[in-house]
Amino acid sequence: MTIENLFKSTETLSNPYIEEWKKQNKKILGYYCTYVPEEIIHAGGLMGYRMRGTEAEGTSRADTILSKFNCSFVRATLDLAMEGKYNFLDGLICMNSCDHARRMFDIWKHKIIGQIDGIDNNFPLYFLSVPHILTDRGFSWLKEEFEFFKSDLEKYFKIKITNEDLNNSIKVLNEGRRILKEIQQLRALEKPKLNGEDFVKINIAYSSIPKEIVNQELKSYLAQLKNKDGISDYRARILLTGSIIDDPEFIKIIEDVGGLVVSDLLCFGLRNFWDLTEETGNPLDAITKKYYYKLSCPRMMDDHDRRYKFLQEQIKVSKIDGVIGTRIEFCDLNGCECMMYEHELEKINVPMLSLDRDYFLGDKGRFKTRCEAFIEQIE
Amino acid sequence: MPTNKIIPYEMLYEALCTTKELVEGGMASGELLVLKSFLKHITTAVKKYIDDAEQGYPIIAHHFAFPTEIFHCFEFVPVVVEGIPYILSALLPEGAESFYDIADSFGHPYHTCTSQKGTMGMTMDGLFHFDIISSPTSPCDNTVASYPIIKEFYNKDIPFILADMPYYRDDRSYKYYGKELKITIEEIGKKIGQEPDYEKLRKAVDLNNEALKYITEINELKKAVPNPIESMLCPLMTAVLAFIPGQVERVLFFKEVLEIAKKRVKNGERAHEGEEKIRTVWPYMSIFFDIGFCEWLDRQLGMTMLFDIFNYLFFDPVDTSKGVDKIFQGLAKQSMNYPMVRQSATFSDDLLDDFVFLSKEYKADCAIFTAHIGCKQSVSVIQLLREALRDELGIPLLSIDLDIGDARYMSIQTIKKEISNFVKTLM
Ligand code: SF4
Ligand code: SF4
Repeated sequence: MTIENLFKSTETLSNPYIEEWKKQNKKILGYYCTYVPEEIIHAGGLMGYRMRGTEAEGTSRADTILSKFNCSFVRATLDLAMEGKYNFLDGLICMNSCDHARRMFDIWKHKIIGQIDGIDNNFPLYFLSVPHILTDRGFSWLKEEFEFFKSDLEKYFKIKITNEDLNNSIKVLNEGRRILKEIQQLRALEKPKLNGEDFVKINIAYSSIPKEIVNQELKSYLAQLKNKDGISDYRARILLTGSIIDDPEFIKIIEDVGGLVVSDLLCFGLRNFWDLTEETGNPLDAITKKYYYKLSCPRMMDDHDRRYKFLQEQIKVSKIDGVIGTRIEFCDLNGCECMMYEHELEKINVPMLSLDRDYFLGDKGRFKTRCEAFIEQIE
Repeated sequence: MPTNKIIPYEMLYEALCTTKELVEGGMASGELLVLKSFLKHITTAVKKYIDDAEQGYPIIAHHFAFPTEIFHCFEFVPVVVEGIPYILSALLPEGAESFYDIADSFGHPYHTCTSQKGTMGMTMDGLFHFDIISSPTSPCDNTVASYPIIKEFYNKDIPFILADMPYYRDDRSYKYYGKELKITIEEIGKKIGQEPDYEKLRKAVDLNNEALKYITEINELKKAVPNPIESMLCPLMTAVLAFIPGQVERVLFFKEVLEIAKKRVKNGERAHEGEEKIRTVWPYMSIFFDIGFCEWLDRQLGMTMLFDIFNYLFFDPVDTSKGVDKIFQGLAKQSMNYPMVRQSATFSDDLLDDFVFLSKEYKADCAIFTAHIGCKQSVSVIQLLREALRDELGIPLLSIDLDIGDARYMSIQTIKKEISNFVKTLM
């Protein structure tokens, strides 16, 4: 496999690796959020698959169920499910991530399961209730949730997940995360070895290809990158944050006008791989710790200061010239978070551009103009 | 330290007094009885808050989804964050829009819930000075996203105390949340230098239990055809629940409404002249920004609002006889099934089942869903509810995209027109 194949696999929902996986009669569980413990899924011999809106051409089907006040990313994923494009999944895991995504549990229950070809009445739907604040009580709650989740998987798929399996999965997942962190370091160099567009593709691939395979490929890609000349023909180093971005095209717009996205606080980005799971001690404890205390997203209500601190560190480490915050319309969580960053960064003289957008990049010209103006301003 | 820390409550008090004068002076003695009772009791309660604030009692800004009774362990002044902009939007001629605009001008996304945005604007304008900010982590993203802003930007050094609410409705969750509530109180006590007085809490809960008894009886009487109670009870009740927790005025209000209802049922009367033509349930809220809206429904359309999201409190009273922990657990269960929390902060099945049940039990002819731009988890399930009502009862649901507290998003004229057109299809 080449990196081109890996990148190609991000252009569609399913991909040859998934097809191969399914041929072996192995199962795939879709999930919406970075708080879903992939180690547990992996330890059960299952594959975790992060839900995406790739391939969606519109939301007309989903709009018969959801409201125009719902996030267009979530509507895009629902539209794809209604079209049958998610019927390679063998289960879906939802959680109380944001108000739009969490309602997918209810909607799949009433409108997808048993009503879409390939998703029959036995299709398992899981829910994880993840605390919104960081406390010892919350930690214990989450650990219990993960225990229940593990035993539900065991029951439904008639498998046994041992501590040894979990320990092994922790190692496999950490391996991928370490590689991604190394790639991130190459991205932070004076002459970054890759652009932001490729980096998001890598992250998408990481969440939609079986881990052992993607780890191998990323390892060889990392080796290639190390020997590659860095990029120097950019005008400004950008950190990207805000609502979900699973469309590399969006980053391309920024990079086409001279910005180079060298760091981020995104779900298909640092938020997903930055923290490693401890490889010693009780594995379920370690998994809970990793997901509970990881680099959080704005769904964590008492953790803004920590996120802002991380942002400041990234600005320093990656020598950021400007921050771009994007909010998919009706995304309250990221909308408010970006607003806070804007005011905070102003105080420390870091320029920030806030962009409102739809999941579908309707008006590319407008984005381009705004990004160009921003880059001119900070160059 | 500013002397007046709750200026919007003074604005509210003045608006209440003016409205009271107008209603009492301008209406015949048998008219608008529920509104008159409401104005009497809420005015007393708000005046007390203003007096207490003057005494220097700590101001606790809290989410409506908290069982406010818990704060009755303390000498305190409650500011219900979500309540104040909406009650002012109803009572002030110019509404609460200027406060939303202040928050918007700061970069706050236009689509967040105005209930919190209004208080944010008031705080930015220097009208509120809180001593504590406290909230559960539910029912919505707006809560999760907006409270940290209220805290970070305008009240940086003020204690911010949160109680984590799980997503499920089961004993494990009630136990967990009960502990969260108790810890919240203990932490607040430490911050304001007051020892929680649990005997005072018990008394407040007992008062709420008594009010609940009357609410249950009122709800039972609403089954009568015609409905004996004016539609306006729905938004008024929202305000009573939010502004008068654990107090005797709450009990008195519901007791008086019950008496009014009993008398009318006995005489086979409705609150207004003319026939009751259409019985409706409102799975979300009524409109707040137009105080006359419910009267228009009753008088112009002969349409009764049987329930909105804030009116069906079909839960058990809290047992206060078995010690403090049990009280907290009872309050946890109650508040996790509290109006808007029950429908918003967990799976949608409760909402669907409740409104199918209510529509059937109360012989509703249709449902009207006010699709509030701020409330994403609610608007996500409108179609599911529409289908449930259609399939199980054969009744239609109208949904209208609007902002409950901001007249500019959709004007009251357009809303009335949409409802009138819908009514024509029913006749
Ligand atoms: S972009 Fe925002 S609203 Fe949409 S799924 Fe992500 S967090 Fe939720
Ligand atoms: S109206 Fe909806 S969005 Fe606003 S506070 Fe209530 S639950 Fe949250």
